[in-house]
Amino acid sequence: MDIVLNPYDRKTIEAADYMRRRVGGKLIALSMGPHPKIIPIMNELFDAEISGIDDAYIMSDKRMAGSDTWATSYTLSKGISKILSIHREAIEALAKAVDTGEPIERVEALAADLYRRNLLPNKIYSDKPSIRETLINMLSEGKISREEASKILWEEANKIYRDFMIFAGMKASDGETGNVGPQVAEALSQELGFTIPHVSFVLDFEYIGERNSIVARRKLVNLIQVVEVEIPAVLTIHVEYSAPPIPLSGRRWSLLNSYRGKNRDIKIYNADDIKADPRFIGLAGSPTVVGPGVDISRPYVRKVVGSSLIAAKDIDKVSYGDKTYGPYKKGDLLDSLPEEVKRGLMSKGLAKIFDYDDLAEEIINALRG
Amino acid sequence: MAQAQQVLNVLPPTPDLESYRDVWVFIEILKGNMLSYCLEGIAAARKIASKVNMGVGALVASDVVSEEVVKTLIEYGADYVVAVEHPYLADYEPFAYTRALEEVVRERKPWALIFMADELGRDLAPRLAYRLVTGLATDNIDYDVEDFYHGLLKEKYTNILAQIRPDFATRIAKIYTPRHRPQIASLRPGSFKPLPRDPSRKGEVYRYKPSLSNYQRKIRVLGYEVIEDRGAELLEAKLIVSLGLGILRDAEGNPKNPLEAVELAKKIIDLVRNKLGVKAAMGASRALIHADVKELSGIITHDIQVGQTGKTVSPKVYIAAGISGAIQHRVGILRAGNIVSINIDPKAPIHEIAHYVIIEDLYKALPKLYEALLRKIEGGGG
Repeated sequence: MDIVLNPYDRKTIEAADYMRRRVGGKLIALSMGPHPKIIPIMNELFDAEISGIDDAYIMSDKRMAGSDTWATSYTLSKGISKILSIHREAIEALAKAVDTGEPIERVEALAADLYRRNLLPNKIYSDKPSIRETLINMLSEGKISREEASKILWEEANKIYRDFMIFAGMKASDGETGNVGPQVAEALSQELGFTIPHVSFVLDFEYIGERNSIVARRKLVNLIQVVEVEIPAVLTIHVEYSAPPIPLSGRRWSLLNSYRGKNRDIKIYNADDIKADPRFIGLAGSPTVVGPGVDISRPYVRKVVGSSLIAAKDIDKVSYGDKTYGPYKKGDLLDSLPEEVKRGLMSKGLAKIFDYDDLAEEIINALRG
Repeated sequence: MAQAQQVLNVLPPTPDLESYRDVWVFIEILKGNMLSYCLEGIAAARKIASKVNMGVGALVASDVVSEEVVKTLIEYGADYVVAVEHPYLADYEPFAYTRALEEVVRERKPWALIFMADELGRDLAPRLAYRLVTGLATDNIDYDVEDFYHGLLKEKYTNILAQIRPDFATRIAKIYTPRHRPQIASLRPGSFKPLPRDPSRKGEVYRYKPSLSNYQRKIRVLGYEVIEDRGAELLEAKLIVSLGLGILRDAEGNPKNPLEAVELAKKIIDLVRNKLGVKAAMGASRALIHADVKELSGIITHDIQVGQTGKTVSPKVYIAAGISGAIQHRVGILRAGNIVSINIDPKAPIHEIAHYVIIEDLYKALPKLYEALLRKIEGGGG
């Protein structure tokens, strides 16, 4: 399963979609925020012909408002934990039905329902005509025993917590920099009780089947670092990410591991649904507080080429009427002087319009200074 | 009663808050080389430390931290060096680094900890901050120390680090971490100048061996590739000519071959390099890079992006040609000594912050500027 945390980031979706097509599974978009705003975005992602998502979950709760990246990552990790448990419980329910000797029709009906809800992969149950060798088919045709089917199902249930990847973008849409990838990796490690590594700024990656790992090339200051990372892992995708071509071999395998796909029933969870500690979410759960904004504009002396008036040479004090102006150094801006003073200085050759040569001189002085 | 209820329902503060002291800077070592812009972090830490009367510690992690690195850090303004050494720290890997830094931070309790906001700092600082249950303010361009009133808790905190960062909505925002320690921040390279080197400075080194107990190695570093990063050149340049979307069209709105603008910019850059012996480089706006113009592929690349999501630059002269000057771009050039804006649109926001304004088609303005520079250089030199 691939879970995408910033579904609005095209490159992130592209990377997750590559993984889905390479190894199967499905692509889940997970987001946090007011659901009326996010649902239309999710629907667009369902509609996308390439890289479309298969499932969408939104963590939406007034109590989550004002979250900084710490609280956001905590909330998302609780959401991911919930999503994983839903998938595990689905396979467990089927395994239990097999174990307790439910009639085969009941087992098939349960599998069909779970499959329709996008919770079982094709290899367990499928309605695709090209896939006949599903576990449930083989069970109903007597090709495998209940014991064998049960064993496979429990193995599949255990794999849920082992075979997933999380993809995050470098920057969220609100401008917060890419803290969420690494922080979700840490939050989820604590939530699940084992270390989930993260790799940020990933330029490209490849799946290594023999070791169920990822080899990624990642930007690291003035280098590209090549790392091999165990699955499950969190990858944060660089804006310059590019996906390699999908190898032809293994496509059947990928299909068997895939799901029905495109379940447009968007799930919306509040803090209680994901069992989030109310002290760790929203403003209350945020160690950082944003203070009032500050204006960054500063006063400048601004010279406009072709219109500003500057001193053509050093000027001593000049008197006009009862007022005295100056002294000025060559190049000083005279735009704020009264019109008649400007005209007077111009006529004496003491002032001139700022031109390219004056600009060039000031640039050279600045570079030499 | 209501207030007590509220206090119970928030993230608990760091215990022993008052015992945290000193401002630390994380110094990056990659493949055995210390990244020199980390010295800017020491300058930032000194500014902060002077306001709260604390010391400055340079935090370094590697398999072995050399005496030469220690000496350099002291001479550039650190009061002491905390050298975290372990074989697992030979290559950068976020989890081993997080665990090692967590141990030393819990033991020595720094009041603030500053990372550089590059790919390493942005990878490491978030995970460490989450583990330590403290705040992280990213992408800072400046710091101050202030009193802060916490609206939700209705409490006042004195002498808190104000972490200043560019912000989409409010131009510049101040981020505070009032109740948690250390206050972790990441500083944009180029925002501070390193302090002058002072060979007479003396300081101690604390060598720390992290236990890394129960550390599970889940990432293996297989190797490195060297990339040509023209961004480094950009950070050192005294003159930058940056190009924006405006280069795609002339004053009448007809399409132009943008390579012409690139050539014009290069002529100015080469002139300044060759005749004045000054470092000069080309930059670009985010809009131009994201426009994915075919002719510019390999020339206008992500590594030369100037602005909030790119590099913060501090040249003596910054020439912006065909750049409208969105706030995200402007915050990246705030520290430029002189800004020259070239834009045919008199209302372009870039003009508001420019010291020199040229309201003219850049395809006419750049050659005029080049000719004028050539005249002045040759006249002055002859």
